Amino acid sequence: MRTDNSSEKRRKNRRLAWILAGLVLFMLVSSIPFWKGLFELAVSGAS
Amino acid sequence: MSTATIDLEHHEDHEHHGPPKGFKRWLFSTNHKDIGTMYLIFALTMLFAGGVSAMAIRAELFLPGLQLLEPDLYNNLVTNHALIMIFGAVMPAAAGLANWMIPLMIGAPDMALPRLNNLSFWILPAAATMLILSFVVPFFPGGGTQINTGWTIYPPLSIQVGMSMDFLLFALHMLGISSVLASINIIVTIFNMRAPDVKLTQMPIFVWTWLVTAFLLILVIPVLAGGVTMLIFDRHFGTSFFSAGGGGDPVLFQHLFWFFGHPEVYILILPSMGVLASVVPTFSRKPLFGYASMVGAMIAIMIIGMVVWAHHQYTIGMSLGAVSYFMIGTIIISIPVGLMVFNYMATMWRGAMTFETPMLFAIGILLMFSFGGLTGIMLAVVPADMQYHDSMFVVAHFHYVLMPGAVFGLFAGVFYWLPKWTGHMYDEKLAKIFFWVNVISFNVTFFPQHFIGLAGMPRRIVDYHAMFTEFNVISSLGAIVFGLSHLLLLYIIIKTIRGGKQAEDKVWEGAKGLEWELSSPPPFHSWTTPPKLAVS
Repeated sequence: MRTDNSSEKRRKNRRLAWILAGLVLFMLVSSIPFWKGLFELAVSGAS
Repeated sequence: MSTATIDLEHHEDHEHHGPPKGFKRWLFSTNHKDIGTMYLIFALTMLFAGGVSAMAIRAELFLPGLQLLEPDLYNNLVTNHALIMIFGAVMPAAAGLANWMIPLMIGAPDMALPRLNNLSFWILPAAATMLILSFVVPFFPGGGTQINTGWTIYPPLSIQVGMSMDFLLFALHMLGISSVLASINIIVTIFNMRAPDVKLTQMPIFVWTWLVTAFLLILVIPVLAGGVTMLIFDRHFGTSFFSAGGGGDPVLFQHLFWFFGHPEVYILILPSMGVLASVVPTFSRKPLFGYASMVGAMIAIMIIGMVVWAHHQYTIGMSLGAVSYFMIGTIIISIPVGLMVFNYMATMWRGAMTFETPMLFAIGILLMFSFGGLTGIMLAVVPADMQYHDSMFVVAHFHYVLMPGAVFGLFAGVFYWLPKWTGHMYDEKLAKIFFWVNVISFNVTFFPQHFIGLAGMPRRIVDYHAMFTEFNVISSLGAIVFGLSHLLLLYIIIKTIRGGKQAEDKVWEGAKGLEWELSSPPPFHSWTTPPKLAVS
């Protein structure tokens, strides 16, 4: 048995990488103060 | 645990194509060993850059009064020293070890995403250039003020600093992207690329430490990125996230920063603790004590480490409930950390120990890191921290945690695996001289700082009261020897790369693990056929 990356394995690797990238994105956008601050900025800008 | 009994006949058929020639080998490399080597060379270069700034700082503090540096330049050096050491030296060095060793240890032919691996590394030199430019730019006309914030880049000061801060912020973004990409690659490699016989519960602890570290990185780096992005917006786009004048809150940045900053300590330490899990059993000639508890301790450190960040901010005026929570949580972390230390001691207990350089570093780490942990417990206690906060005691504490806990662990790893990487044994006599000079001068540098800190000397100030002179003189003399001792490390490494006694495949008598089943140095393409393990 050889471990050269088969297309199936590459697909699995990419899929897991994208899931982890999603987790990174979630952590970025769920830094709640970011959105809180952005909202306040928008409100104060409007007023 | 399993011992490796491996069919090695698979190597020959893949020896027909070696590495590409010339600079393309390095620029376009997707080979985990080459990229690991580049990480390590990069880290060593940055270690010297950060070291020069540290020696300049200590030279200035040799005597009270202004000796060599203007206050702004001093603060700039303090900032750059920390950032270069953390992001330029320690993290890339740990990533270098990960690149080299994880595929070898788990029987994988390479990292799961080799091109991403190349990208992760090559972002680093660009980021380091930006970081160094942040230091250099103020010296040019129109370059603005020097960065005088320290590595914590707290607003409002970081909003007021000139354009050099923009270089620094973009450097931080790039360093973060590099770390996140490398972490994703490491996690995918560990989950998907293990040889069929290598179960998660059989992986070397070093691989486990990197799995935990990689998860920590992808959880906390984005939060730093959020804070840095908001800082850029405050500086250039008229927002007031952190500016009190516009209704923002500077303390908000401190929370975001330390949500990243405290786990960062474990990000720096855990890979080195993983190195010890290879070194200590080898030179004790005993299996690692408490494998399962070690893994549990790491996961506990990861979880608890993410929810105690505000112990860096006791003095901002939190509620009694909040400081009590953060104090208790911080002290609780000493349990899993202590468990790891005790496991290493139990591994040594009644072992047939020998004291080669990696083992000397391992023992040094356990002693000095534990000492740093003890002063950490002192700092975790709120009323005490109110006194120690921003004093030289804190500087002594975190250097006792990070030098032994992170850097000495990396040195142990380098000496442990250097014969495997190069195919040559290093000069043991010189290495032992390096160890003793390094460790003694480290203690001469940082131990006195506890006393001057307790006596009231603040940190990050270019000048100090004459009453602190004696201990500062001792500390600065130690620092000069400590800094110069790393030239000996460089010499030993170059000498080993250039030649020396041929290393055996299994370099150390007591070593166990897949990496020792390969030749020294390993073939350019290793584990092209998965190894088979024989359960012992």
